[in-house]
Amino acid sequence: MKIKNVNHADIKINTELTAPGKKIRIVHKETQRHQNIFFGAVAVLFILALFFIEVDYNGILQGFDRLPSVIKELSQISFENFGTLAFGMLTTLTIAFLAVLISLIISFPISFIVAYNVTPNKFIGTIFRYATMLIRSIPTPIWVLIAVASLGFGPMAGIIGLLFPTTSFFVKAFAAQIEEEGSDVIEAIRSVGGTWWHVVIKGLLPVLFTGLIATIGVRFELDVHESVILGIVGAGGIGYLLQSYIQYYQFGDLTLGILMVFVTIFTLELVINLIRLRIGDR
Amino acid sequence: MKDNSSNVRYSQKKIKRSLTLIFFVLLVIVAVNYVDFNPIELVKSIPIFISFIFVDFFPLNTSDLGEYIKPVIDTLFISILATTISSILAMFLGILMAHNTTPWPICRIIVRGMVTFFRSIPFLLWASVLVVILGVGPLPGMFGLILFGTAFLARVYAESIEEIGPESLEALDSTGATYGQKIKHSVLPQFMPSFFSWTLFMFEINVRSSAILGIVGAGGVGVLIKESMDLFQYSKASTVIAIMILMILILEYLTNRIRERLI
Amino acid sequence: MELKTILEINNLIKRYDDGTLAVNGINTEIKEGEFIVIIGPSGAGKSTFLRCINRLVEPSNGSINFLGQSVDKANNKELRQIRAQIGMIFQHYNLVSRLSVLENVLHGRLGYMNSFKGIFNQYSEVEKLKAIEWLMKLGLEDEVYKRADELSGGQKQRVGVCRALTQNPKLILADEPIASLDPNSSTSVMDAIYKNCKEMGIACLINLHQVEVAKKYATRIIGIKSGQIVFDGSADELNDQMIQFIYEGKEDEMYSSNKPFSGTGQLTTI
Repeated sequence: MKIKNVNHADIKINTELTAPGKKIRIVHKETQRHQNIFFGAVAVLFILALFFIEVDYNGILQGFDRLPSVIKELSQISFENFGTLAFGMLTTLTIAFLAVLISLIISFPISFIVAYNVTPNKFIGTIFRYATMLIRSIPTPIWVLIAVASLGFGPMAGIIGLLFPTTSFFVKAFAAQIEEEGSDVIEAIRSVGGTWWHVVIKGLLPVLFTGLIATIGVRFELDVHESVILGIVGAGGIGYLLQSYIQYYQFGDLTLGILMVFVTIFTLELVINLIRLRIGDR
Repeated sequence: MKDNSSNVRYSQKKIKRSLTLIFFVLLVIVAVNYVDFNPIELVKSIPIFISFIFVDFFPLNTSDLGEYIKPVIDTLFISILATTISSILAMFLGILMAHNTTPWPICRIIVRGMVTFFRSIPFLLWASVLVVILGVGPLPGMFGLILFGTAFLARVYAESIEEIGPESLEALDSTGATYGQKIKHSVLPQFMPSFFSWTLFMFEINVRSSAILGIVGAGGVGVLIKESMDLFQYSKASTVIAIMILMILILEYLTNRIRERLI
Repeated sequence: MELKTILEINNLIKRYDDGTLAVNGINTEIKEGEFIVIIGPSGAGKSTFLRCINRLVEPSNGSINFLGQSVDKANNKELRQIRAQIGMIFQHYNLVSRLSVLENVLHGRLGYMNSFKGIFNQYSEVEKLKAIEWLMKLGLEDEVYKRADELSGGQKQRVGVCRALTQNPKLILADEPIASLDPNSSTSVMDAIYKNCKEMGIACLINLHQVEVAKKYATRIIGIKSGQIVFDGSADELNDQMIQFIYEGKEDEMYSSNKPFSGTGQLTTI
């Protein structure tokens, strides 16, 4: 058996070596092939896209001509509307905060129904799973558009609009965490005779706590982000203000607004990181 | 003696916990008052919302289906262009940002700062501003996606690079390899799985985003949605939304398969 | 015939930022072709010492001379050239998992190629042939094109040995090369290192904590304790008393695992 293998490899290597002018291969065939196919396909699609999309090269050039003047206008920060902007930012934050809160309340029980290792009823779990997937594939601004159309402008529409993507996100993330880390704990508590409630409250919650907090942190940040976007679509908050500044060419206020968004989100990131570390220490 | 100190620490912990809880509750109360949030109104609104969906959005209006093909393809192509350009730029930035591959520490700080800035501004905002500069059409949307996407990818690429174990880098160091050789022969091969994973993820996000860019006039399927909703043609809007959902789901499935193969 | 001194170390000191003194004044000379094993408990400074030689760790004080050239004062370019002539074998193999075995071995040539050539895999056909030859010699002919993560521990380490040998080095440093291996693989790896270094006249500095293994292979044994050399002599001169002294406080580290060691100095293929 061993000798046969050696001969085989010898022949393989020899043919590669003796083929005139051919360079010796050094890479792993399959990995290389997969990578080549991927990058090749991307290149093809890229070139296709370039042709297909009407790239208005003239427009780009004109735009770049206009760029210096726009930058000049943007750099003249105006602090006139600082107060309005600040309130707007706060509204945006609040919308995100409330949306996350309500989503948590709803998504928490649902995620336990969806996770296949804890679910009391597999059929209902599957239905919820698919429903969540459907809700998740609709981009947030669309939800908010619908909310605005049905409930009118304002923060309420924003909150309800945000509810759907946030809840579905939490369900998916929590269910995944339960499925991944929960099995051992579930087994342990079931084996001592605990009921479904025991399993959840005494077993899973302590174990999954840090992971849950991490997910919540990530999503809250995202929701603040989306909340700003929502404003553009009509749900109030700072996004709404920014959009109007853009439309009315009030660039000075716009710059201040952008900076405010940046500072807020950045600070938020830091704070959430801190909280995560603190809780992790426990 | 020992018992006492651990007891003290335990009660300190308890106090901390209750304080956090109280702070939290206060926060909620403030928030609720600030936006005049009325939980009762919320509960009343939900039925309105849902009935709106079912009454006005269904049945789907499938006339003009052919009209929708071009915007869908537009959306897809915009995403491909944006993702590809973003990932190439982000690779360079990511390598400069990761603390185990950055050539100079100052580089890292500067790039990090820029990237965080671009990452925090919602891409729709970029698109909006760019519409003013570049006019309506797919271009501002694409640039908006590129700005945001590059920053986002640069950060996750850098994090993945930092997670690479230092062992093989050490080995290459010991053979006398240069910086460029170390990147090509150790960092890149180990980084590939994360690269594929995140880039595909970004592509998915970009498809969803480019579907919305239309709302601010930046091309793609979003334009159709905005138009039809402005005209109160909700059933048309829902058709477009349905198509969009289909597109996103198919793409999600495809990218999952690709991911399995590549990693 | 007087053997050339290839490595001279004078008063080597390494002090870490937190104050720990890992290497506390080491003076020694390595001659061409010597096969030296360094023994000592963990934390004694063996790893740090080894890594100072090719400056993977920056020495705090002292001088290191390799083939007449100063290592501690070398600039980047000179350091690369020095490192190209010093091969290194690591406890955890330090391979690139997603690349093929052959690519991993060829990494040994990077020190001899300029940046551009190295980045674009411009290895010469001669270099590739030599690398394949080494793999065949160490019994890995069936693994040449496999991905590195498909191999067993013993095989991976032999790839690491090939990588070091491909550098055509004058000196090979090995940091606990068999610590992560089972006894059979340990035998084949130690045999591979010993036989090939002897044949090619490559000097070898190996860190081991298993004293029996050291005695089987080494012409010269150096014992390190608390960052200093406390023993430097032949395997015969290393008596039990001295061994106890070196491993004072950490006696359990002297031994390898349960199975009795069966190395014979002959190359065995698995």
